[in-house]
Amino acid sequence: MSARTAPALPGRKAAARASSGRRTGRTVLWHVGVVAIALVVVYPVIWMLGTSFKPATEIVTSNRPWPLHWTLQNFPDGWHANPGVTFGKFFVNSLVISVLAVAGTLLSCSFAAYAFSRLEFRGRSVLFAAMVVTILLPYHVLIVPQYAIFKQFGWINTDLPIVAPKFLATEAFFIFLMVQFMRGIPREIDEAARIDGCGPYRTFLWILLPLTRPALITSAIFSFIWTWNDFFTQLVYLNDTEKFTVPIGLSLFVDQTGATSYGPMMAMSILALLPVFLFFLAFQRLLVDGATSSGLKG
Amino acid sequence: MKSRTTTAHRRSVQVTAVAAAVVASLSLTACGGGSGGSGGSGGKVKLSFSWWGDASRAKATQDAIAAFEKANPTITVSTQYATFGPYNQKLATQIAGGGAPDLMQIDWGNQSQYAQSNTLLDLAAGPGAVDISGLDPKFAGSGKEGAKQVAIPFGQATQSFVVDVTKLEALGVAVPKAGWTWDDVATFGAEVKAKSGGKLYGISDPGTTWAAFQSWLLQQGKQLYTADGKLGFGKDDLTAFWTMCDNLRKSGAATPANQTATLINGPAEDPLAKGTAAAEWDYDSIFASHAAATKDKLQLVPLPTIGGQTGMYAKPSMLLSVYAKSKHPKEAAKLLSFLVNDKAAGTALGTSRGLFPNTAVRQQLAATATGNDKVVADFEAANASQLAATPAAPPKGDGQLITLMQRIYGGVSFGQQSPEAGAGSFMQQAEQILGS
Repeated sequence: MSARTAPALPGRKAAARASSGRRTGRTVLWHVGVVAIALVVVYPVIWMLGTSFKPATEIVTSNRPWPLHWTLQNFPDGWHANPGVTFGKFFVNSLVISVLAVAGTLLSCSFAAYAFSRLEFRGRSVLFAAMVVTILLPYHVLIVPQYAIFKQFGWINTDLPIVAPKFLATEAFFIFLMVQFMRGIPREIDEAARIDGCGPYRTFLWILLPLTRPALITSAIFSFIWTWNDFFTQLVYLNDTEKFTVPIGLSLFVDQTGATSYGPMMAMSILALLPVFLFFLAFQRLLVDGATSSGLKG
Repeated sequence: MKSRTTTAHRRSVQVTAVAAAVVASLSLTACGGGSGGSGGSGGKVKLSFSWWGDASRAKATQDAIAAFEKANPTITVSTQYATFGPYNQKLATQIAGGGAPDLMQIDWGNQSQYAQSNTLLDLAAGPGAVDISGLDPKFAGSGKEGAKQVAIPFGQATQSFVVDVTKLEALGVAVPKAGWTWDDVATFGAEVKAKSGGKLYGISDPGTTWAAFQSWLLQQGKQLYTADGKLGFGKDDLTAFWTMCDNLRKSGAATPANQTATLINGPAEDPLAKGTAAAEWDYDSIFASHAAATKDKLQLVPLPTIGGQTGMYAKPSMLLSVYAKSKHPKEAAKLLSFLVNDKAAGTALGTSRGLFPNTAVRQQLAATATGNDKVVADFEAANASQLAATPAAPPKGDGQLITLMQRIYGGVSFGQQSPEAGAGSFMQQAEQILGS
């Protein structure tokens, strides 16, 4: 991309010099427009940040995003909102589940994707179609049979119903993503490996897995964010307050029939965003690398 | 929220059959049947108990459970809770999956539905028998489905107007008194609007509130539902109610449409909390939440009357039921009985769920109540003799009618539809919902 656009620049500069006044005007207008749109998009986050420092009475009565009277009280209030357990416990629980989910998804989905994209076996195309169809099934159709099965296993009120399926390649979307990526890797590379004496396992481990890195990173990021934000599965399977995760903890702040504590909720929401933000920040460079190198054309 | 729960549940029921087949074919032997969290160890019975509510209710409930465990050392109770919407979604899943808790708090709107699918144990006789002689029989009857006592009310609430006394005193408007009429509401609203220079409306428009309409019907001796779960009123009744609300709104006595729309979000976001309405229809059990959302002093006033009737009644704010497949029905019923009858439970629970079910304990608690609890206790005591008979539990589909009311009156209040046209489409859709 950049290589192709670079030579075009001098030409454009020449044209710009010819009508520099008009161009400056247009650039200013462009930036004002972009900043305005960005503000609209960022506004809810700014409001959330401001609200987490507002006293309770100011939250619904005032429209300004930043507080009139600053307070830090929302943070300890939110942290200790639930009797017998702090929000820190919820963070630990969420982190454990999310990290396991990422590990399980990467491991199992890359195996499955390798099989679908490289190995020849009977019924491959039918199974692949069946797997893709599972993406279309709404979650609410699956939850009751799943619940009945996990109850038979005695897994209710443990992390297993949330984490175990991830190790069994149930996330069809990630398999699909990796299959498509692996199909783009030239088969000549595997053939070269086979000539050098690699079996299917070693081809996978030494050749395909490193080349699939961008797809793996994309899957890791999405898998982490989705599990971190997932509410319903965690709500249904976790019963004890000590086992609750961050999304369940946040939902406890809003009760239609009781007091809604927006201040502490916003304070904890800000904290809940941090891991996702940091995770994204850490992997973003790799994600961009992945996006550019995915145009690998041998 | 409620309507979503209902549809999710119906879908859940359909897939239960599939789930059962899958489970059977797997023929797994590990940890079969029964209720979630059951199974005794070392002679101790482990019960599970689920309920919805906020953090303050969690604290109160834990204290009550601790008192029960102390009195019954052979029973341990594990609790699970969530807030109202998610709680009902989770419970529907648990029931469909065959793993509901031994003792569960249920919403009155779901009672018929769960009773029809034989999810709830009969509490009048058999292993789950609970002594309810200490409750007002009319009120306890709200947990009946036919001859079966499927649930016991776990808190009493009554309809009321929550009034912002601080704002009225500042304006020099008199606080409405018991026995006021709907005409008085119009004059009251007009006075508030005029004296505040148009900044404050008299009341939050009650036109979106299904339960307010029910009170209005009861004031005229009519019912929301017939005994067989059909609509108990006609199109003319709804047209008259909405026309009254429409006039209140147009004259400035009630809040405009955009403010009324925030009523569904709970006390913290409604016009009373925002300081744009001086009074609002709500159950008295929500009073503490209203008080927490504002700095102003609030007070409870009985509903406006028609022909001297307030149409107020003792409503179960929530009920307790024992799961029909529970392995320990006797112990679950014992816990239930403790939670609705015992003084120690009453002391721990306070008014976090409305008034305590057992009337003798309720009176003892009222004598020592303070703050918001006292306001509610005094209000209930003053109006106890005025209450109408508690109607039967609402039929399945009630939750959908609540949202239908909000949606159609929303259109009426924004001027898209006349009250009469709105009432027409409401009747048509409501009959479809209840007929299915």
